[in-house]
Amino acid sequence: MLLTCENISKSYSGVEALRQVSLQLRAGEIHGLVGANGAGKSTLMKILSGALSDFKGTITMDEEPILMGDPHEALAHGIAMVYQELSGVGKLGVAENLFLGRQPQGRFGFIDWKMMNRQAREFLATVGLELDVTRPLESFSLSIRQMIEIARCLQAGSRLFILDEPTSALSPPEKERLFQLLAQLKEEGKGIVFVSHFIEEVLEICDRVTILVDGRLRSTLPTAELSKHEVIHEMLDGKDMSTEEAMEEAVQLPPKSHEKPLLQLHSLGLKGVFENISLEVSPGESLGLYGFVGAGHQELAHCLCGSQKADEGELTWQNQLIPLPVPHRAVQMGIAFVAADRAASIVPKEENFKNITLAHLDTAIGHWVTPAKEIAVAAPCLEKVGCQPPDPRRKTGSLSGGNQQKVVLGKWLLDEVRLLVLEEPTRGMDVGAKREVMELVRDLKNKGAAVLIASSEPELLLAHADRILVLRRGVVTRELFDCRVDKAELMRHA
Amino acid sequence: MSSYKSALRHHARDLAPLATLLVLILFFSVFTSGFFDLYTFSSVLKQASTRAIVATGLTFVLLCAEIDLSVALVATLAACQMGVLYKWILDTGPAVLSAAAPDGTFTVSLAGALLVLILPVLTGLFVGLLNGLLTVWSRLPSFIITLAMMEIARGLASYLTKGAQYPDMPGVLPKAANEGIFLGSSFELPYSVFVCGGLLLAAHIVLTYTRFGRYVYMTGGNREAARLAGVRTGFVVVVCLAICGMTAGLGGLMNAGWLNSAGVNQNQHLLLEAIACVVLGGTSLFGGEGGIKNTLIGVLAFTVLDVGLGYVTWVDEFLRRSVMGLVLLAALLLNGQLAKIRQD
Repeated sequence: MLLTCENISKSYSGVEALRQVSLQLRAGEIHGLVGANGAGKSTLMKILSGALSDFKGTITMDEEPILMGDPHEALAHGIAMVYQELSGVGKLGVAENLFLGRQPQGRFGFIDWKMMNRQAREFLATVGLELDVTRPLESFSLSIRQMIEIARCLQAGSRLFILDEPTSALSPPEKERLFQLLAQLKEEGKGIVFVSHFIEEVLEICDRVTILVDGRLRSTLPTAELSKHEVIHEMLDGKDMSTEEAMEEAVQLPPKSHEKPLLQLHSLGLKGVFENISLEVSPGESLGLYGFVGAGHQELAHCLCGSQKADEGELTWQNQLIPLPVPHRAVQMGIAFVAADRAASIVPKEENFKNITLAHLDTAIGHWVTPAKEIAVAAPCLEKVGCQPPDPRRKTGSLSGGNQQKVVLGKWLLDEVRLLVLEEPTRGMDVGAKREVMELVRDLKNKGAAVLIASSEPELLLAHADRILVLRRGVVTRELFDCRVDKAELMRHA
Repeated sequence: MSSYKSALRHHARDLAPLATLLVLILFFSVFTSGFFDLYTFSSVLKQASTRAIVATGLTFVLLCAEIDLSVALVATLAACQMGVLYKWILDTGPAVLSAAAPDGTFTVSLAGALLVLILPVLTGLFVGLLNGLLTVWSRLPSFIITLAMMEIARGLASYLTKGAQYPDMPGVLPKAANEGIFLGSSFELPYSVFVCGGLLLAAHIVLTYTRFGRYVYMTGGNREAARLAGVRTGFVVVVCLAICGMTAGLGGLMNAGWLNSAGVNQNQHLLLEAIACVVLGGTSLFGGEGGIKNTLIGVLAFTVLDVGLGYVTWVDEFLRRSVMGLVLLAALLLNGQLAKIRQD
């Protein structure tokens, strides 16, 4: 056994993220790790890579108990973590990155560049990479950088590789190349942990798969006889019914709206993220965009509001063909955007009333801006959205996440909202705040606004969308309406 | 008790600059002879004028989280342009702009004087506009753009003057900068106070009571949030830098009037002094916090320090600049600490 975890538990300020998880990783094995958002995958990875120290349970490597809690220690034991965001010094050459801190030295202690470049070239060739090792690391594509990073760990003597969502940004041929490298590492007797949302890929490359549900180990199964359907059911069936029971049932989506669409998007494209996306939304309709992190649905929301600039695409807005708007124009058109990143939605050091009036200062307040006028407008608005406390003079940055989100929504209520675009609108909120925020969204919809929700949480979309588009790697794989659909169904298309 | 304390904490940052000003006045009054005198105060007001004008525009720029390093040289460029233009009208200018004086010599007509005063301010505005457009268009930090503009302005000023001093200018400038209305026998209210006061008041009204002013604060407080709420943040930055260029030009004229001469070697310390004034007043270098009230107090505190050190006899004259730096440092550290208290 290469590495054994026994009864690993970890809690963050009273909330259990991992409960008694045991895991055995073999040399010469690719081990998949899957689970829904918040199932405990990242916590387990952090523990294995030494990024977290105060956990319960034991970890043994080669039958010897080892102490963890320090990334250097993990590295010394031969455990390498390959993150989604790539490490390495982009400006330095590939060879320098490969030998960072261990450069071969010639006479007088100078770096022996010739030898270093030759060794780097030879070593990379053994993992199937033939490239100019003097070029800066950042000039290579993400997939090559990822393979260089793996090679670097291999060169440093790592025996266990933990890969976090390694394929999420790769094209199919790049993915094939990575899989070849992983197969080679496996041949050489290394252990690999493959963490991914993409269940087909896990089944394709892994020997066994461990499924985490709500911080517990659900099962560890050999992949040979396993289908995607079975994995998804394992991920969902094991749910703690007391907290999520409502979401288990299938939901009946209504038929497609017969109203004339408020907007139609035509072949929207953003290089490397999504391409040729077309969709339409009608007034009083709520369209959900579902996909795993990185599927492109979130960027789509940003492009629609001008927050991000799309590379191509046009918009038909109330029967007029127009280019995609810049944010200023979008606000004038009545497009309200609530971004997932709340830090980009509020001005934390300013009072609530200033945050509330920001978007519609011209129509709601007029020429002369005085606190008295603004508070007269903002106070009822804060009451309406249920901000606690509804104090206009309080700094928005001092509110809880849920209340900040209510302020963000309240800001748009000062004028007519024709299209409300939400990106992960309830992320990180407690149940009560979630319900109140989505109640506001429903109100707007009932008043005739079109709503577009981009989210990776199936529960949210099942509860609040009338029609759902499922995206996978920037392509719409399925449009769901007028049918019964449940979580498993959604995830199968993603 | 707790509400009193929390109110004090809340206002600690706002009160710190005022406290600094009062402590400085108290300090120089007690430890020097001759400082506490009405004459000193009118001289503080006179000397504050250029800084106050330049700091006003700079306040806009710092509030939207940008910086303008070109202010001092834009001021110099405006002054040089004014001097050269005036001389040109006297020597060879068209008849509209010049007029014959009663004693037979040529002087500059009203139209000429207006041209001489307005054109340099427009030059400042234009340079500021260019700063803004380049900053927004290139997406480079304004630090870099205005640094380059500083050198361009220096070169243009040198080219215009060829290194010479221009002692002639419309009489209104030296008069505004050096003279005033005597209130009583020893207190002179300088005319420049009316110029600065008017400018500060206008800026205060714009920043506090107009949509544009609010957009300036919000752009500085969180540019992305402002942008997503429909604020044209690029436009805001361009206008702020344009305003700053304009006030820099105006400040240059005021300083030329104070010195009674225009030349490329003036305004040596103006950039850092103006920034110090704004920051000493409590306006954040990172945008979104502060205002004209703060700048006014900052300018006064800085000028009191500057003038007061002239009365100090127990510091070596050559060390005065260092003492000034030390006091500034202390005041800024104090401001920083108080800001932290308020955040907790």
